Amino acid sequence: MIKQPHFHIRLPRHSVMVGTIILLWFALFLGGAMPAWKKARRNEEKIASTSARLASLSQWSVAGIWLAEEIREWEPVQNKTYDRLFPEAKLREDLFLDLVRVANENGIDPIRILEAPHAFRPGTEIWHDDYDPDEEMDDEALEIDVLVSEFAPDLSALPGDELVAHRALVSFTAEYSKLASFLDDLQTIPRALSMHRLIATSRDKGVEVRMELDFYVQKQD
Amino acid sequence: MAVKVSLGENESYRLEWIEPLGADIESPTRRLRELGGPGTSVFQLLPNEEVSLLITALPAMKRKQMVAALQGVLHREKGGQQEEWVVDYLPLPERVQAGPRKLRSDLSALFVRRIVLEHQYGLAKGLGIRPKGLLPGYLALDQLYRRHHPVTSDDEVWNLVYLGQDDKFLCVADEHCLLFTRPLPADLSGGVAQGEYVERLAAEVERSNFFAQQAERSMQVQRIVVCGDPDLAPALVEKLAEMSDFEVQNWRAEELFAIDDDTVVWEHLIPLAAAVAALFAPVYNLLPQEVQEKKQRVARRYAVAATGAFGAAVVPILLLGGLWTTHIQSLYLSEAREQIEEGERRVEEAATSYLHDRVLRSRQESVDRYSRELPDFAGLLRDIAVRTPATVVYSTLDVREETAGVYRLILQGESIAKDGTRAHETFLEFLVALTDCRRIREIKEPTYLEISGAGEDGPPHSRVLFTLEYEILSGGET
Repeated sequence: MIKQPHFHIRLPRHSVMVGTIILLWFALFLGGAMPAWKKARRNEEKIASTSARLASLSQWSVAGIWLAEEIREWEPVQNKTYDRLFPEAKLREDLFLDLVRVANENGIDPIRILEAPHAFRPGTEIWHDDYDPDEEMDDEALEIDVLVSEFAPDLSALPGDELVAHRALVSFTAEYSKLASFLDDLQTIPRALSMHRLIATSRDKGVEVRMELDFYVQKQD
Repeated sequence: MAVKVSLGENESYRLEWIEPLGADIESPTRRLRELGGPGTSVFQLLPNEEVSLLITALPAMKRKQMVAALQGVLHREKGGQQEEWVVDYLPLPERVQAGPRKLRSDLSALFVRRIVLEHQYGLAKGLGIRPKGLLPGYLALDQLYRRHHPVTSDDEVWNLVYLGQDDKFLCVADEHCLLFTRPLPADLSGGVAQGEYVERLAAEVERSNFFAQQAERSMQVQRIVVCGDPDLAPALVEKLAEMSDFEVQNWRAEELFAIDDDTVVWEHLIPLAAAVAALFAPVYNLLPQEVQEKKQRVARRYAVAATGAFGAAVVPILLLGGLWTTHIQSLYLSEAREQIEEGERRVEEAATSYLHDRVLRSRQESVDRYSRELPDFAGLLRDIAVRTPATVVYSTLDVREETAGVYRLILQGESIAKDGTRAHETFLEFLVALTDCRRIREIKEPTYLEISGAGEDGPPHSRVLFTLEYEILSGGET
């Protein structure tokens, strides 16, 4: 019977041990240390973006505190003037009464006053009923829009700042000097009034006057 | 004898201590143990007579082969086995040579018998000291001289004569290496016939100078430097100066060493020179081969151990460091998340305030715009009336708002007179009067102007029909 040769490689015991330790160490490095540092690297990026976010929020917060204080002092003072110049309702009868009073005080009588049928946006000659103030937005408005869309503050408590203009057509016949006095006394009417047009035509008994006076009302939502 | 020196100020040295070593020393003293401690650089002196110099030329080859070749040369010239010789060498700069020798390298080799070296090294080792280098006294002195006398010109050759208490020798050297050394005779008269002895020394020096010229590199000595015995050295300097044209100097090497006691430094100049050499890198290394190999093995072992330690340490450091870092980062992120929530709540308020402020600013713009006083229309009408001549009549006075707050005055009328000239003159007077009015500004020339003749029905007259346009100025504007 032929004895089959066989090979047996015997490694020194300490070499096996050292090799095992190195392998374990390497596995520990790949399985533990490397992922831990990768996670740390990812966290670094998160921390950077978080810090930037915090800095931005902090900036806004400080600005907000300052603005809130300013608003608290300013708003009541402004409201008095604003509501006087631009009432919430049209109050046409009060305005007409004031105009008649001023005319009569200057010896002008009769006087004809009527309201033009269409409201319009102040500063425009476009006559329409429902203009949209959001059509024209500047950069600052866009910034606010972004802010509002991100944080969605409750806008219901904010006052409005839009106005609607109405036009009163005034006509009368008077002496030239009385016309001048009438124009003087228009300043005594407490509401905001602006004269759009004045046409004085000579007639036998003085001048025939046709005036277009604009008055303003707060736009209601 | 053991000495310890340290670096002093201004290229000097401080002699720390001198420890005599008797042949019967049994255990190392505190100072010797200090020399055996870590971080101490120790050079051991070898007897001058046991270590020799060889200037030769061999074909260029690697260091190990060159050492073997030098051992072969020594075996051929001095006898014994090749391995009996411990050799180290210093390659010298190539000289311009003719013929087949141009491919050979000049070498300055230092060699000693292995048995001597091991014996000497064993003595130091027995005291617990492991020298970093071993060198003969003349080489130590040569190194000290070079360190403090930088060579300024090429091909300078000098003869350094040392007159010690026991040893006396001379070294002929050039800027690159020590060329050869010779022992000098001792004073057998015991100092009685010093003049005669000085003459003998001078003759030996002269002879060595001549020998240098005949030797391998054919060097011409240009300077003789004498150091050592402060009584004998000046006398020899004087004698040599009389005998030759060489530059002769007395080098007081002992002045390089600062001492705190009354030690006579010149008597210990050679050990001190070796101690100074130990402060710097050795020029030759005559350590026994096995010591060098052992040092290399130790260095390798340290390197392996350091690498292993690094590998063993770096993984847990990275692991723990990574885990700890992520833990700290998580804490920060968690805290930051709360801060962001709080910040967002505040920013929501800020956004509301911002919008509110914008509304108030917009409202204020309206207030400012519409609360402005209207132009003084009444004053304007009166002013125009005053400036209007009686013969000028308006048909229409039109005030219209061009843009917000900007008004235009349009006057239509006629100037009537008996004749055309008079009617027109009156019209022109009226124009001048209006031009002087500070409430209005002429925009353009009359937009309409007509002069017409008399009518058929009434009395004869002429008229000037006109249309004028002006911009109404606000209060202070002119």
